[in-house]
Amino acid sequence: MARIRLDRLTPIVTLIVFLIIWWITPSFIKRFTQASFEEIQAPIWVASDQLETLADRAINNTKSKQELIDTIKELKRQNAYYKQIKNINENYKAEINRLESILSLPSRDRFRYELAHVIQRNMGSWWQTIRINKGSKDGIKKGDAVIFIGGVVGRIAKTNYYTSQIDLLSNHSFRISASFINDYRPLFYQGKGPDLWGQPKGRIKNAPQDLMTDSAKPLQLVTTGLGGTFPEGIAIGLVPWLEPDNTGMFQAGEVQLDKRLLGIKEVAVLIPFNRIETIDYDF
Amino acid sequence: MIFDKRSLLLFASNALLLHLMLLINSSITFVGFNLFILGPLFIIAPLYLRADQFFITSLLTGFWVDAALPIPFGVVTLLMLTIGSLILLIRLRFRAEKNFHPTLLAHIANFITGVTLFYLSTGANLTDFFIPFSTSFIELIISHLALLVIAPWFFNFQRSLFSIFETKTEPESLPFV
Repeated sequence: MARIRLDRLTPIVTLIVFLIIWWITPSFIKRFTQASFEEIQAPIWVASDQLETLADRAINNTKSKQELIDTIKELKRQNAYYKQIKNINENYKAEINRLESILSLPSRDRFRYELAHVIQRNMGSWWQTIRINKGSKDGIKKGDAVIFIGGVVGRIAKTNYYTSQIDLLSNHSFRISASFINDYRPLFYQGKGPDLWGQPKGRIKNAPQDLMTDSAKPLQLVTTGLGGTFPEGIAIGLVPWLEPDNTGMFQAGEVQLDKRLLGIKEVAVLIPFNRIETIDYDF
Repeated sequence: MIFDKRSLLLFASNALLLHLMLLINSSITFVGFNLFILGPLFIIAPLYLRADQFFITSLLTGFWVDAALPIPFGVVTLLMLTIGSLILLIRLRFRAEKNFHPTLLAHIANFITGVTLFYLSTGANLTDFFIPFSTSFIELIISHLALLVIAPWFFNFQRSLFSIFETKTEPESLPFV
């Protein structure tokens, strides 16, 4: 009978030993290894973003002078408009502060806005995440809300010292309390990933039965402010149709999210002034 | 244990392919799908290196991939070591110096990894993946079509690195590891 060559089994024995070691390794060691690798990679993401900026600049160099002059003119017009809005907002803010002080109310300012640049996008059926160039050194923590010009972007999923990863609102793991505009009854929103044409989608459950919508005039879905992560009234998306859910008591439907999410470049992270610390159970 | 320079070369080239994939994915968000081409990272190390060197390369590459992707830490490392160990056991049967067998293995590894990560990322039922014309299914098919071109290029690139850095260009210690 031929002898079994035990030395041939070395890879399998090594693999089994590694699996056992991995299984009994304390979570803080795994977390430390992960954080170390992520911090090593952070400069690479920032450098790739710089490369993208350089490429954009090179493309801009090919544009004609007249085209650039027209763009500057348009930007000047928009700038003047936004300056006016800024002045009006400052007046409103002063008025709110005055009334708050008269009535001895607590301040309504619950968040500070940290602007960040998107340095990496992962938007497929596997993942719906983006990475930004701000991290824990800027006060960002896991669970913080992220918004952009079109409304909700998502939630901070992970922070490193220089970068953070955001779960988009189309991500399967993203859930939030929402309501329709001018209707204060809360319902349940969850990300659904992209559809066949790559458009990000979400779905809602527990919508009241008396609500009606159609694709010509879809209902606007906004945040409720419940949970405290997102302020009230931030746009989530449009709901073009509703249908009875499996319980028959409520309605469910699909949410069309802002198409600008696909090419998102700038976001604002809402950092609460009074943060409630939560325990993180990652491993 | 004598350190093999090829371990570092393979790790560096694997990291390069991963970052190229992520750069492309970051730039093609307007089409709404991702290229998933992790398969080639699994192959050359078990085909060319000794068992200990394969282990070091796969461990480093796995941790690197795990840190770069939004997945539970350790998943790709474990997949890489498991698939790699199986390849290492039967590597005598493969023609490592040609591209046909490595490319075939890359497709198999890519498919297994794709399905595993889809299941872990979305929390969906495993059967959901195989629904014809589901987004994930189409994405993986397109990725495998891209892999037909990328995998041979990548394996040739890794072999060229062996030549450029004047290391051993043949697979290690055949027939037994």
